[in-house]
Amino acid sequence: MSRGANPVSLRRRPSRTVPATIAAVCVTAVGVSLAWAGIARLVDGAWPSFVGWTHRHVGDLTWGSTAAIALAIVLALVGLVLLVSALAPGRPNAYVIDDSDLSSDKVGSTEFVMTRKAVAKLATAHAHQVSGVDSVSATVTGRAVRLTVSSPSAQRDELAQSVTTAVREALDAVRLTPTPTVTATVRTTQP
Amino acid sequence: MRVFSSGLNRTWLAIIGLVVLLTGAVATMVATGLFATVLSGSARTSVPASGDHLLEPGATDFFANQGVIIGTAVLGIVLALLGLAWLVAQVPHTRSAAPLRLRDDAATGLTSATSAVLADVVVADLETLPDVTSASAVLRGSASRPQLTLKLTASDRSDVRALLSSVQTGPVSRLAGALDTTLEHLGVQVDVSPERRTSDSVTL
Repeated sequence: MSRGANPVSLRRRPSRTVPATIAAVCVTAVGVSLAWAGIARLVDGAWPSFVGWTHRHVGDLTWGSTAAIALAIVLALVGLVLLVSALAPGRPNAYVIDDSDLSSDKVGSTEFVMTRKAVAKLATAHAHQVSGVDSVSATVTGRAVRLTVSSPSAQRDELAQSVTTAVREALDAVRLTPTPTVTATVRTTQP
Repeated sequence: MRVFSSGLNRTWLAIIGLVVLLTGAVATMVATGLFATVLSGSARTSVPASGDHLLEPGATDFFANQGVIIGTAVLGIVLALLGLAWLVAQVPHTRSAAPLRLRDDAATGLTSATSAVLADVVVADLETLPDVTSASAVLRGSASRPQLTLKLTASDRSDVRALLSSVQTGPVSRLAGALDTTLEHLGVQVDVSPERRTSDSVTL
């Protein structure tokens, strides 16, 4: 089979790089410690000092002690965090652009996406074009675009409606899937 | 446009998480005495009592065994190698195509091109399009089944759908013509950059 036979999807969920890196470092550290201890015991005939330290401190603990219970609970919580980080789907990084009328006889399959960051920039740019808008910030989730607008205008509801309409028209023109809901909140600033 | 080891991360995090969670849960039940109340008969006697030490006195003899020492070293080496391999897998990669053999008949001559050269040509072609402020491309697959992934940065005032259409009829079509085949897959990630605006001055 040729390399890269399966197309690489541009719309993806978080890759869990941070928890995976932390877990990989821990696995490597445990592995190096065990290998070091085992090889040192084989070569020198004695366990390294850190094994003795661990043996003294863990060996002195009893099952019913507070430290042992705390250690067990921490272990269970760490396991739970790792499991949740693996199973939680996470937000996709991008919206799909509808490609139903963008077919070409030179291309088999297509995938067009716009990242959430790009959607935020597009929404901000079109909100800026509305008269009376001073500054805009946009938060984009998997299904919604929330705009926070600063304006000297006291007519907050009318301005919010105008901004929402302008941004919705701009996003509808791109034909994002799923279609995000657009909401705007206007804060009046001193002129 | 790079490939991340998402599946690998999720699988190993789930396996390690489950093992650690079960170990912690069982240890908590043993430490709090819950485990002994759940079990009955002879099974109950095998559960450590709250006054027992975590490491029994026999543990020292157990770890003096030559087989256990060798097993510890081997287990450590395996874990260290697996951990390092997992760390290396965190580096994202482009998975771009090997040099494409456009003509591979030895009698008439061989023609090959690296995927990076073809991607550079596509990028140069894309950047001639109006509204495209920057672009990057990765060519994957093979000469007979090429897959093209593009990242386009467009002006925030551009018509995105018209731009995608012109990308297909222009640079993508020309690449397919050069390779003398249809592209198996085209992926485009659209980014947006703000149009330069002038302010603080009005010309009448």
